[in-house]
Amino acid sequence: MLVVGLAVAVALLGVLVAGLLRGHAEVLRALHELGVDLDPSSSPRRESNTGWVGVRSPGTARRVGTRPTPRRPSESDVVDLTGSTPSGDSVSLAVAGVGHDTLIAFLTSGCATCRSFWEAFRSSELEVPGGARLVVVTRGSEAESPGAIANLAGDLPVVMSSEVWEHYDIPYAPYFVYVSGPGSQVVGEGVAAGWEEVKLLVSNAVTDGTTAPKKGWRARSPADQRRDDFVDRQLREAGIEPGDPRLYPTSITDAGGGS
Amino acid sequence: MTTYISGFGLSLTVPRGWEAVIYRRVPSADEATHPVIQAATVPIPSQRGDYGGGIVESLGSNDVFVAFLEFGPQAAGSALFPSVLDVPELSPDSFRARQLQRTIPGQAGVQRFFSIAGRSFCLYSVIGAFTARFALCGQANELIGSLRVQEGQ
Repeated sequence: MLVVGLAVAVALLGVLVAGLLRGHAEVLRALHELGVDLDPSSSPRRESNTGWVGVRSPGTARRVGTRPTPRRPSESDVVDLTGSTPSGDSVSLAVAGVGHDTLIAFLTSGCATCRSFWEAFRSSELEVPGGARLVVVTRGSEAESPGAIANLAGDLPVVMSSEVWEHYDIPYAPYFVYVSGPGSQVVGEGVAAGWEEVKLLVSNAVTDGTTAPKKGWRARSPADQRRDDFVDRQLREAGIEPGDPRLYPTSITDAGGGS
Repeated sequence: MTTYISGFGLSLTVPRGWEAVIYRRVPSADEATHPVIQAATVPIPSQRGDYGGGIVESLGSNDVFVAFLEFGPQAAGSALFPSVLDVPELSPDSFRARQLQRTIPGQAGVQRFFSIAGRSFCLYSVIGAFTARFALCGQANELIGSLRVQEGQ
């Protein structure tokens, strides 16, 4: 009888362990599909100029294999930060085609990790590597309280815009995107547990020279720029805004060329 | 990609490389405040003056600052604020070093007063280099030409 009882207990424990292992495997597989590589042998160094970098805890930067931003077609698909300030002003801050770089911090008023960033950013001694301009972007007033954001932000430049959040396809907060102004492209992005980790990531991007314009890049001539702006206006009047799927056809039929 | 912002019955198309803000300061006791538009080819900081203090100091030789400052409705149509149908364009030679709110070597500024749609405004612009006024005036006019004003209440 005792033997039978022990056999049953061992069998139950076996089933339990198997279930736990299966659950663990499913978690790992889900993380892998999101682009997170937890292999300890992976190098923490960025793999490419436009690669993602994630930081889990101080000093343990980890490479993230794939871009979890499929709706953003390329690193050059950057938009200016247009929305409202916590005090209700309309604002548009330029990040592309300008001489300075911008570090965009996507924060919320509620997440615990964001709190440490809000506090760090209010410091008058805050230094952003590369001399980049720091701008905080939150969701719009339909999702965040302007009053709460105003209390957290102090004199920080803050743009409240769910459209910007969606365009950059931000998966969670806090999240950071570093945009090269001269290059008009994203040169680094990812998550971090604290400001020191963000500074490390930005320093790497700056040291790598990734904020410089691409080789052969030159500023658009005023005539070209006017032509671009004219096309932009025409598209906008036709109801086609930045990120509109019609701008990124996946087949000749989508582009209207099929018959 | 150009962007479009609006507020307080004013709207503006912001060309690539520019940034802009439409705001109205919170009035203190016994004070009336009115909407202001600021646009510049350099970053606009949180702490700044209505006439560009805190911004114009950072203008390089290829940079432009433009401000539209609304005055009270009692000023509309007065001698200082003549009524116009469109926001006046600027000419390169209208920029003067002596028209700056605060003189900064090399820079030049211009100021225009007008009423449009029953509302009175001051248009103030600063360019980073007087010697580049032809090109920079063109940039300022591109922005100025996109300003739209709704009828005053």
